[in-house]
Amino acid sequence: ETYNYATFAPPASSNNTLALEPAFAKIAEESGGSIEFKLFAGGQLLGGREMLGGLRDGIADAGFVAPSYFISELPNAAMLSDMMPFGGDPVAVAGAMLETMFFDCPSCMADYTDNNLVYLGGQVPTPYRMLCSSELDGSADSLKGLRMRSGGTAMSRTAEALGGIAVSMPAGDMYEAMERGQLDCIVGPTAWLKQYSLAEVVKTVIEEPLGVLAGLGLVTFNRQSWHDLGEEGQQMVLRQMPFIVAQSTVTGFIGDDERAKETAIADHGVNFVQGEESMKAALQAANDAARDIILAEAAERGVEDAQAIMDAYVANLEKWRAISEEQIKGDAAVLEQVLWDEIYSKVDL
Amino acid sequence: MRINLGVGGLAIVAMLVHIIIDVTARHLFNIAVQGTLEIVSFYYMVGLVYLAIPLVQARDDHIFVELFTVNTSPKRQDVMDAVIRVFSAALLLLFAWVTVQEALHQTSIGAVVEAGTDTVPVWPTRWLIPLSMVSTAILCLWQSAYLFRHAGERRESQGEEHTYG
Amino acid sequence: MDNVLIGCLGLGAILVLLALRVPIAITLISVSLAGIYSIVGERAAIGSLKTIPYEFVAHWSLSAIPMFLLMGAVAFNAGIVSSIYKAARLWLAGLPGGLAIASNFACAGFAAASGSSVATSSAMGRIAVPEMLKFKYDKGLATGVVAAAGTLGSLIPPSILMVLYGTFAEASISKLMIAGIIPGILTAGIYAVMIAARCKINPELAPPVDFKPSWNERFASLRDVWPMPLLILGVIGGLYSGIVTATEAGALGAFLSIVIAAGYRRLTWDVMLQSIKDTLYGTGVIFFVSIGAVLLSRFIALSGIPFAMIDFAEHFGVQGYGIVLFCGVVFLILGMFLDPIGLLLIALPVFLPMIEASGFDLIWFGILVIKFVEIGLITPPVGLSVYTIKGVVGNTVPLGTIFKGILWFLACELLVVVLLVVFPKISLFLPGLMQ
Ligand code: NA
Ligand code: NA
Repeated sequence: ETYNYATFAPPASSNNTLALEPAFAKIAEESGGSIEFKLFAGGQLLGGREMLGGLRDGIADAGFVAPSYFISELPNAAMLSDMMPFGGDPVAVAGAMLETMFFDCPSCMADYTDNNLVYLGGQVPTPYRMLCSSELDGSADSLKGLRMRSGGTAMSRTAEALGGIAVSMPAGDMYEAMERGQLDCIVGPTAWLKQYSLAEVVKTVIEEPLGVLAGLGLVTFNRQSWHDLGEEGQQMVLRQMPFIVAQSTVTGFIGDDERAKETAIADHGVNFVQGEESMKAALQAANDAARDIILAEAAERGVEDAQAIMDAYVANLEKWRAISEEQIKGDAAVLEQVLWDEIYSKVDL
Repeated sequence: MRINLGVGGLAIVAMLVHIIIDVTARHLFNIAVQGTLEIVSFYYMVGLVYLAIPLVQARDDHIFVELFTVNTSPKRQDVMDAVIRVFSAALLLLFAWVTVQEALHQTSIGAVVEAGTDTVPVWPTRWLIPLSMVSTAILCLWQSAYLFRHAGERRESQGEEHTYG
Repeated sequence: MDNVLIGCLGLGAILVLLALRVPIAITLISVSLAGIYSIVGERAAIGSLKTIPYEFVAHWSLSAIPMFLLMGAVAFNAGIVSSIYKAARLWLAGLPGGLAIASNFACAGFAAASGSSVATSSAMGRIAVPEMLKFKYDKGLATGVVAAAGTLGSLIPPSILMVLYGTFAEASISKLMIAGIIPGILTAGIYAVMIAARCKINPELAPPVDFKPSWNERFASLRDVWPMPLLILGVIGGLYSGIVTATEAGALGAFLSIVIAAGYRRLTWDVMLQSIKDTLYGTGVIFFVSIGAVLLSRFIALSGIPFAMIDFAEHFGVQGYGIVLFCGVVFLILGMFLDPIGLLLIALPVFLPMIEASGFDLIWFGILVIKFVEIGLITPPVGLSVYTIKGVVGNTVPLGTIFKGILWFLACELLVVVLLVVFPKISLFLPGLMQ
C-alpha cells in the first residue's frame, strides 16, 4: 500500500531530507515494502492553507499541518502557536508541546479528530529572531519605529511591543521588500538567511530569542488512512516519530541555523549582536502582557479552558527545560530516546 | 447579472483604493494598515473572480477551441454547444453542491484568519463560490435551451453579437 | 490501472474534449476530477473542489492581475495611448512591423514593472493589440507579439517565479534576478529581428505607411505621446524606489492611469465603467481557466508522472547535458497543459537534484527553467498568456489565429534556449560581476 504525504516545505528542506525521507525508508524496509510513503513537497499536492481540508478529505493520506493557518478549525491546538513567546529552547518546546498535546489537552486532540485527522506531532523550529537591514546595537531604542514582517499574530504582537510596526507580507515578497526598504526587519529563524537568500539584504541579526513556534503537525494523518495502516503499521509509524521530531528539530533546524549563521558571517559580513538589557526587559514585559491576550483570544475562539491549557504547557515547558539542559544537551539521539520513553511509548491514539 | 457587475466592480475599485491607501499611509505616516493583505485576498479577489465567472458566461466568452470544428455545419456546432452546456451545468452544479457544504462548515465554525495582531472573518466569501457556480449553471442551461431551439439560425446573421433571448 | 497511465489518458482526454468545443475551464476541471477520482477516490475528488479553488483565488500576489487589467483598460478606453502609436507609426515608418516591434519593447519595459507574465500580458494586451489592429496589422502578429513578449514578465526582474525557484534551489535570489536581464533583452531583440524580417518579406502582415511623413508631421505627433512613457516609468519608478512591492505595482499602475487620464481630461464615467467591465471580463476568463489548470496540476502530481520521470532518467542513465535536454522536453510537454506555478512545483523536485548532482550552475539552470515556463505560457492547448490576450480582445480574434501568430515567437524561444545552453555567459555574466 502506498500512502501520499503532502508538505508545503520545499523539497530540499531539512525536515524532508533529514527526517521524513529516512523515516519513510525505514518504514518501507521494516514492513517489507507493504507500507510505502510518497512525499509531495513544496505544495505540489497541497499548499499550507489547503492542507487541513485536503487531508480531511483524503487528497493526501498524511501531511504537514501548521495550526496557525487554521485557528478556527483547531481553536484549542492553535493555542500552542499563540504561546510562541514563552519558549526559547526548541528541544524543551518539542517535549513540552508533545506532552501537552497528547496527555494534557484532550480538546487539542479533539480538534484534530473533529476534522477527521490524527495528530502525531512534529518538529519545533528554532527561535525567531530579529533580522534587520540596518546596523543595530540590540537596544530597545534601536528597534523603535522599524517596519517588521512577523508572519503570525504572536510575533506581530511581539514586534509591536518592541516599538516596531507589524507589516503583513507573504514570505515570497520579503527579500525584495528588504532590498528596497519597504521592510526594516524580518522576524524569523536564522536559517532564513540562507533559505530566502536574506543574508544578501540583512546587516544585523539580534540573537535574543523572540519565541519558539510550537504545535506544528508535521505528521498528521487522515483518519481513514491511519486506520488502513493497521495496528502494526501504526506502531511502525509511531516508532519513527521520535526520530522525525529529533532529527528535524536538532539536526535540521538547529543545524540549519548554525550553517546559515556561519555563511552569513563569512560571505556576507552579517553582524550577529546580543540583545541588550533594555530589549530583554521590553520583551519580558511584552510576554507578561501576552498571557492575558492569548487567553482572551482563545476564549473568543471558543476554547473552553484556555487557562488549563496554558498552565499545562507552562508547567511542561519548565519540566522539559530541565530535561533539555541536564539530559539531552543538544544531542539528537538522546532526544529521540527521551521522546520515546516519555511520550511516544505511552501514546494511545 | 447587473448585481454581479455592480458588486464585482465595487470589489475592483475597493481593491485599488485599499492598496493605494495602504501604500500612502506607509510612506507618509509610517503606519501599516492592518489586514490589507487578508482583505484583498479573501474578499476582493474571491469576490471579483467568482462574480466575474458568470458574467463571462452570460456573454458566452469563456474560451474554447474552435479550430477543429470550423468546417462543421452551424447547426451541428449549435447542437454540440447545447449538449456541452448541459454537461457544463451538471459539473458546475456538482461544484456548487460541494462548495455549499464547505461554506456551511466554514460558517458554522465562524472561520477567521490571522491578520497582523488581529483576525479577519473569512467565512462569508466562501458562499460566493456556490453562488457563482449556480448562476453560471443556470446561464448554461438557458443558453442550451436557446441553442437547441434555434440551432443553426444565429450564424446566418454573421458579425452580430448574439444574445440568448 | 496504473496511475501514470491514468495521468496520460487524462492529458489525452483534455485534447479530445477541447477539440469537441468544450470550454477550456470545464475541460480541465472535469478531467482533473475524473482523474483524482480514479486514482484516490470519490471523497478526494470532491474534496479537491472544496478547498483548492477558494485558496488559489484568495491570494494576495494574484491581485496584480486585475489591477494591471484595469490599468490597461483605463489607458485604452480613455484613449491616452493611441497618440504614441500614431507617433511611433510616423517615426518608425522605415522599419517593417514598426508598431509590433515597439509593442514588443514596451512589453519588455513593462516586464520590469510587473512580477508575473500574465500580469504583463494583462497590462499590455488592452493597450497594444487594438492599436496595431487599427493600423491593419495582421491579427496573429498583433496578438502574438503581446502574448509572447508578455512572458518576459517572469524573466526580467522582478519575478515571482524566480523567487519561488530561488527558495526551492536555495540559490541567491538577487543573482537570479540579475541573471534574467540579458536573456530578457536578448529575447526581445531576437523577436524584433524576426518581426522586421517577416514584415519585410510579407508587407501584408504590417501595412507600411503609404506616404512619406514630413518632419513637421513627425514632430507634431510627439506632442501627446507622454501618457504611456509616464505610465511605464511611473510604475517602474514606484517599484525600484521602494514605494510599492511588485504586487502593489498593479494598483499603482491602475491609479496612475486614472490620474493621467484625468489630467488629460479623458476620464469620464463611461470610461471608468467600461474599464471596470473590461477588467471583470478579463479576470473571469483568466481565473476560470487558471482554477482548472491548478486542479490539473494536483491530478498530475497524484498520477505519479513526476516520479515516473525520475525512474525514466535513472533507467536510461540520462546524464550531463542529456538531463538538460530531458528537462526541456518534459517542460515542453507538461507546459502544454499546466499553469506556471503548477509546472514549477511538479518539475523542480524532479530536476533540481539531478542538476545539482551533475554540477551544473543553479543560476544558469534557473534562467533556463524560467524560459521553459515562458514557453509553456504560449504553447497550445493551455497557454495562459494567450488566453489573457484572448480575454482582452474578445470575439475580434479567434484563438487559433493567436496560436498561429505565436508559432514564430516559439521558434525564437527555442533559438534563445539553445543560445542560453551553449553560451552560459549570457546568463552568468551579470551575476559574475557581483562577487
Ligand atoms: Na518582471
Ligand atoms: Na501551454
